[in-house]
Amino acid sequence: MSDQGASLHESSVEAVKRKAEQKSSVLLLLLKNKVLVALLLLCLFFSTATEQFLRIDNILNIFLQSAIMGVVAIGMTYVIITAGIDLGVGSVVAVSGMFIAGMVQSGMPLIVAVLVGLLAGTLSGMINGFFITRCNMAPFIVTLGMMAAARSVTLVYSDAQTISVYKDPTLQFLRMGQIAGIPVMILITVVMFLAAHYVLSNTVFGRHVYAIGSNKKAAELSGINVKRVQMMVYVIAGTLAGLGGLMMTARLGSGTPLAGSNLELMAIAAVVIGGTSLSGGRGTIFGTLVGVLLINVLNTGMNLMNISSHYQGLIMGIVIIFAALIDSVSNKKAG
Amino acid sequence: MKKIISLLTAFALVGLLAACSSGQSTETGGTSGSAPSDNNASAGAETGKLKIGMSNSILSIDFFVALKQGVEQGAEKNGFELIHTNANGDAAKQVSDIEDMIQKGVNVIIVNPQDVDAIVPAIEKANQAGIPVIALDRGASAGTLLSFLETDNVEMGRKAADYIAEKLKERHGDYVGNVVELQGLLGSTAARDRGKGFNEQIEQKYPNIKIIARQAADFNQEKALNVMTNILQANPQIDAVFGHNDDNTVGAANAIDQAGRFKPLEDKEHIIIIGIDGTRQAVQAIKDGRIDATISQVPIEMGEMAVDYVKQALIDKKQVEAHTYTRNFLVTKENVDTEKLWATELKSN
Repeated sequence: MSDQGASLHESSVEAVKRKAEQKSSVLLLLLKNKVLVALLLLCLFFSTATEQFLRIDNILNIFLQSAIMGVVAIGMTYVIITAGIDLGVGSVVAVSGMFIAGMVQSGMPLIVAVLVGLLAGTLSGMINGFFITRCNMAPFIVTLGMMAAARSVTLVYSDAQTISVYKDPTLQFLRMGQIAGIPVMILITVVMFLAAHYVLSNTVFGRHVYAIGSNKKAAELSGINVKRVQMMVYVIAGTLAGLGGLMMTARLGSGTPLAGSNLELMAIAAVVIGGTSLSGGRGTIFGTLVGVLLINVLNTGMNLMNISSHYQGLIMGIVIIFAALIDSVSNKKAG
Repeated sequence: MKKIISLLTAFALVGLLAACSSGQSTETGGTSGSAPSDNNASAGAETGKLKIGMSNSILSIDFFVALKQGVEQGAEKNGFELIHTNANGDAAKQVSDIEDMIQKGVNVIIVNPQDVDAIVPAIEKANQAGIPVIALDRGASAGTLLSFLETDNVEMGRKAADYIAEKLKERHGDYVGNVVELQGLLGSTAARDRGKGFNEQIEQKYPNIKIIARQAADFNQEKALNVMTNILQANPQIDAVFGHNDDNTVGAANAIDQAGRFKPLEDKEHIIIIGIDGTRQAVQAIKDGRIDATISQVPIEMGEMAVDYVKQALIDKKQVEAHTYTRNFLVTKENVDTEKLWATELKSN
């Protein structure tokens, strides 16, 4: 039907097209994720400023330090997409971590202790969800109450003492163990991110989460069980905070009464940096991952550069605001 | 257009950091005594300069700032490079800080642990990396330390008991009187050991001195003010107050003032006040005659001594003491102006 010259011409055009597409898809990814660009630039900067930054050891170090914040931020992403907030997760990390440490120390099998720790997180989420959905209370105030209450339970349970469990072999494995050269804690976090991404973007539940956040009334009218979905997101956030508690206790080799202080705020910052809107309806798990990494890259980078700790908070604050600004500017364009 | 703006913002963000860091590098260059143009962190290692990593638990309390200053002075004296982090009271951040130091390739770590248990994983990591660790003020419940320097809290408690007893004897002719004990943060080793030394000494040597009130004031001035106000209301006759630290006694002195119970040092009704630490506020209050005494520690000396140990162990290849009690001494109106005190040596930022 077509002569050789024409087909040759056609195929070369296709190849060029494909190449262009590939190029533009990378470009598109970068343009779509300007915070990712900021993260990459930050990495580029630190790798020229310090010779240790780009080493595999250090990259694993950064991922390891991102693990707990990452797991907590996943739950926070779900909550914030429904236009909610969860200020209690930092304290829940402490309480579940302390339960696990206390029970392991008293000789209970680790599996029981871990289940209790995770259930404590789940229960905290159910309590949050109950007041928010059944009593129509503002998430901010309910979870603020949880923040105070869970911290207090931690202090009561432990008598404000640190409970050391660093000798427990399974916790030791969680802390130092590696599978194929990758620390276990990173693997757990990666699995959580993949699962959370799948659920949010490929399931009915995920679509409902977005629907509630963009327009609660419309979601209700279209037959979505809004209360059930809201309850679920707080339960997810609480349970993941419970997992965060397990990871915290493993990482510190002990349950400490002040564990997870301010963690909820850093998690919220990571989620917002990652492009999730505080007014709900918009956001991705991938964005949250980028946000978490940005914060931890900055922490480690500043330490490697030996920037005075007096300035570190200032720089972190400015970067958080600028990173959120990037998203807000590009979002205006889209909307 | 908006795309460009947001990308520019990303660049600005990095530029800002670069600006901050270049400002910082000249600053540290000045204090560490290295060349101001030394922007490359590896330059020190290449020239064989010893690199110390110091991890502070918190820097909002003068005592810990003084530890840092001591290490800084020691490093400067010996020409060592110093990398410094502050965990802001967060045990998890302290572990991350020490991991970062290990990545940075420091030769030795000096740590003031936030928590003796939660620091263990960080010490283990340093042990695995073959980096020796020296602990200041608080130790570690496991892991291997090259050395541990602290003040003997039990001894300081005993000294406070002796001071109060002698003052009461001057006043009453015998070891008798009513004493208030304001405890530190319950659960902290400092509160436990200072209380232990004080109470054992009173029970064994001065059985006729009565502890009429014993309350936790949490090393906190405001709490001490409130607790002491209540104690003053409940007890018309109080001869002396022992505070587990100077914040407790500064708060107690304010409470006594506000209750209208303050009498000058020479007066028979004067409430004797003694604390521990030797902070700026306490030293000033001793000069002003509002507080009788404090038992001063030597945190700057402790920091300098740690760096001396680093030199002995890593450069001179000598054995160092595994455990050291640094000095403590009584400060009163008599010696407050002549004695060398960390509170007055501390640089004000």
